[in-house]
Amino acid sequence: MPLASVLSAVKELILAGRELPVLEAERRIKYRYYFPNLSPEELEDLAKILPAQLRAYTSSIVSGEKGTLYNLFPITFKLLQKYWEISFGEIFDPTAFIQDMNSKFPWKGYATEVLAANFVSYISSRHDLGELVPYLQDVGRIEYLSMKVRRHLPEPVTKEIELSGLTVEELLSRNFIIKSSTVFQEFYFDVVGLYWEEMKEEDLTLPPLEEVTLAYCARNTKNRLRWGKLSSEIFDYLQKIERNNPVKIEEFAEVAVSAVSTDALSEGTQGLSEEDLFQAFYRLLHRLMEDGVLHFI
Amino acid sequence: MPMINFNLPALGGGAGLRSEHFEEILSTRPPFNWFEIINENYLDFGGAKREELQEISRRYQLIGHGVCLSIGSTDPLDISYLKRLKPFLDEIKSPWTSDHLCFTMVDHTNLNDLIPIPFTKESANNCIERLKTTQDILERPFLIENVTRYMTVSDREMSESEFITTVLLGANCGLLLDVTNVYLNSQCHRFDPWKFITSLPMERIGQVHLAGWSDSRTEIEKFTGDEFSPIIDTHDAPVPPPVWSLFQKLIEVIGPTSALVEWDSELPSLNRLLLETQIANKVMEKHESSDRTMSRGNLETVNLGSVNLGSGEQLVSNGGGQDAASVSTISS
Repeated sequence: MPLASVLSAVKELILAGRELPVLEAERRIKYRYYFPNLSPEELEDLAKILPAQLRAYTSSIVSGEKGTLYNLFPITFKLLQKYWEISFGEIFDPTAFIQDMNSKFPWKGYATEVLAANFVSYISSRHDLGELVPYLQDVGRIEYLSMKVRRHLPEPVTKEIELSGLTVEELLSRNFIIKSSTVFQEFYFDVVGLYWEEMKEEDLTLPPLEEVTLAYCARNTKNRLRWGKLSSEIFDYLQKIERNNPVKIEEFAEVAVSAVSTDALSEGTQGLSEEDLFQAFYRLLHRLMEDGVLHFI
Repeated sequence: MPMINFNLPALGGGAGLRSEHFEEILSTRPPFNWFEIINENYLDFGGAKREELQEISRRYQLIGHGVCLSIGSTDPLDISYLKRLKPFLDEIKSPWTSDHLCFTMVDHTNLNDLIPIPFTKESANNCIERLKTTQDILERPFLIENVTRYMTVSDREMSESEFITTVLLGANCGLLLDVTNVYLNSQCHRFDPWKFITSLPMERIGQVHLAGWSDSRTEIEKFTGDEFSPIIDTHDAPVPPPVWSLFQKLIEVIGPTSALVEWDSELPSLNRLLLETQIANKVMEKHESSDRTMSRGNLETVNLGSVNLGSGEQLVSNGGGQDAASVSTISS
């Protein structure tokens, strides 16, 4: 279809941002080589477009993407700006950075989420950035997941049970679901702490500790974003549960109590009573509910 | 009965709704007639902003406006997007919706901008077919908006106004006339903006967009005009006098409509935004009273050179810092 070839050529000319000949006749010759499917009339029409006219779009597109990405990844960009010059000896150029990203990860589909995912993939693919800021990938990922959870569509409304007033037996016999908006993520650095600090601070504080951090991100009933850390046993158990699939609280209690006992033993704490163990589980359950990770049904 | 305003209600002056203003709108309930929202900023979204939007939709008329339909593209029409858009528009009670006559995506790659399409028969037919499907799915009046055009992909077969007319009539849809875009295109491609507007099927205009821009061109660029250096449609300033002037001429012909002030960057205070919509209202009210005067055979002259509404009235608008609270109508 000729129209498709014309639109495709316009896209190429805008996105590639090539240096184009100043003279129309020279552009026509060049375009014949670039776009062999176009008719002489179509080549003539395209050659009439001034390079500066194409650049107006190139720059508007990158500037729009830059605005969107700065909004979604404020800490990642702060880190890039802060450390780029130190390592590479030149000022960070977000326009060149985004153009390079687009050439390697073209934005397919209209959703901003796709652009954001491309950004995370691009950062991960650039090993030089890992040397620049070792925890950059983790920061990019935490900002990306925060966006996903913040924007997640509302969950189907189900009647929530009140925890208080239930006997232990009644509580254990109930079910819970992991909300579809909840995400679980493993980080190589403790960026969960850094993330909250950075949202408050203008300046960058000390880098995060290099330690594996297992975390959840959820949206509570007040629509606030909540990040929290989990022990490996609880993390492994919860992340395997299918979303919106009812699970007995009793099953979760067994896993959690065992994890608490193991932790207590490793810390040298002797003889935790059954009541202490249940209280620890109850506090965890309550925190996960308050943070919007799970929902009782 | 002749079609007026594409048979849509004339909502008067409205403003683009931006999430930065949500809290203030909900707490102070400013007297805006209506708001326009960008569909893609809320479609498939949950969370706090979506809930606040629902709250605003209970208090104000919202009209959904799209930026991603890519009606001029040759990629398959995104039916899934349209099927999600329909219930969203139902939810916010948007009586009509709109998008741009351009392409934003091709080869499944998002260009994230409104790129002009060739003014050819093939391109027009492509838009017409896609618009018919769009209207079938959305089940409400659909308006297409003329875009800012820094380049002409092809005008070999028809002019821009002929192209727009062909598409409007072929798809039987309405026109969202962006007066600012017409003005900026007229500066960029050197044509008479009013002649352009009157060459369109004006009875199909169901909504209008008005916006301002900050001209970042250097004096040399403005003076020489050697190197192409267009005014960029930045939506970051008050609507300037030449656009108000065109708007007034338009209203004299088509009567009151729904006129939306777009201000997306360098966001002003809500009061400042309200002032702009009040100017649009004043222009439309003036037309209504002119209409009455006209029937008595005494048509008044309305001069909008500096937002002067004629007959001794002038809205005080001194640019960015003016608050609506201090808008006054001066009688001389």
